[in-house]
Amino acid sequence: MSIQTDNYYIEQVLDGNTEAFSFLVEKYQDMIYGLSLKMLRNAEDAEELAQDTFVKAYRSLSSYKGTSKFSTWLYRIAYNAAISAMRKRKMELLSLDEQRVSDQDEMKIQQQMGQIKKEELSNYLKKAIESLPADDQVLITLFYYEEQSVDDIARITGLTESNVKVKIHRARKKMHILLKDILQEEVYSFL
Amino acid sequence: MDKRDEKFREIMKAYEPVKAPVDFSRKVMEQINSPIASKTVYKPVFNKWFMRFLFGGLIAFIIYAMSGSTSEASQKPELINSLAQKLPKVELNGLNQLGQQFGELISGIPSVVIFTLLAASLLLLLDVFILKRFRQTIAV
Repeated sequence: MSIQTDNYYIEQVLDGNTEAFSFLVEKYQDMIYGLSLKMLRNAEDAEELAQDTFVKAYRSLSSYKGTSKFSTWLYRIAYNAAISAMRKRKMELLSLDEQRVSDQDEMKIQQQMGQIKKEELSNYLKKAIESLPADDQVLITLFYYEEQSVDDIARITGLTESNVKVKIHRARKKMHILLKDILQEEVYSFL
Repeated sequence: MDKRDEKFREIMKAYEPVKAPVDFSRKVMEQINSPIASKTVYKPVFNKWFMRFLFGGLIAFIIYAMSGSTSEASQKPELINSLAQKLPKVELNGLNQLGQQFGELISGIPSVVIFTLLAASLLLLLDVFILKRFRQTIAV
């Protein structure tokens, strides 16, 4: 089966082929569920929010103008829903104290990370990301893992581009502090 | 994007994000294809402010109607009387006439109708409250 673009499936859905939407769900379900889980930190709530995001996207598909990527549009729906859910539950967005990590420290940590086995590194990254505040988790994943542009992230979060850049920079620093702590813990556990 | 960003992107390739549950797509499509897919959002018949105003008005009227029979017998305290004398007098004859006409009109309405109206407005007020609760439940 040939892989079609998002726009192809969108047109199919708009033409009345509801089942075509399942291709879009399959394609983006991990991304949207991941974002929901990062923000709500609860599997059940995250699943419900992710499902609602897709249902909402389906119902308002005719309003998607195609000025941004479909994934960006979808992310924006999920992000806004997660933010309002968090506000209702009075969940904190920011909690980690900003410690300082020098550029040299960062390089050193990156070098150490480069020497670790992929499986272990994956665990460290997961652990570190889970310890970050919700919005930093989202920014780190969007920018460094999914390689979304600053412009797209600004559209998703509703922040200015310069604000996104600053937040990504800070989130990366926090991530390095956490990775440094994890590495130190590992060293001590061997001693 | 500087070198540290690029290097960090390299490192992040090892990251394995959580995957959506296996039956996620099926559940979404079920919701979409469900005959009651569009959540029937409950809406009150009247706007909540209209209802509050109506209810307030009715309560005020009942109090006015009930106090009407006893007001003649009661006397205002001296302090209130002296304060009332100091206040500038306003010609209220027109308003009084209007009030009397309104009173006559209302007194012509059978009490059953008034009680029905009161009950209906109370129910509609509860309706607004139920709607609020309903929205909160949907949001959670």
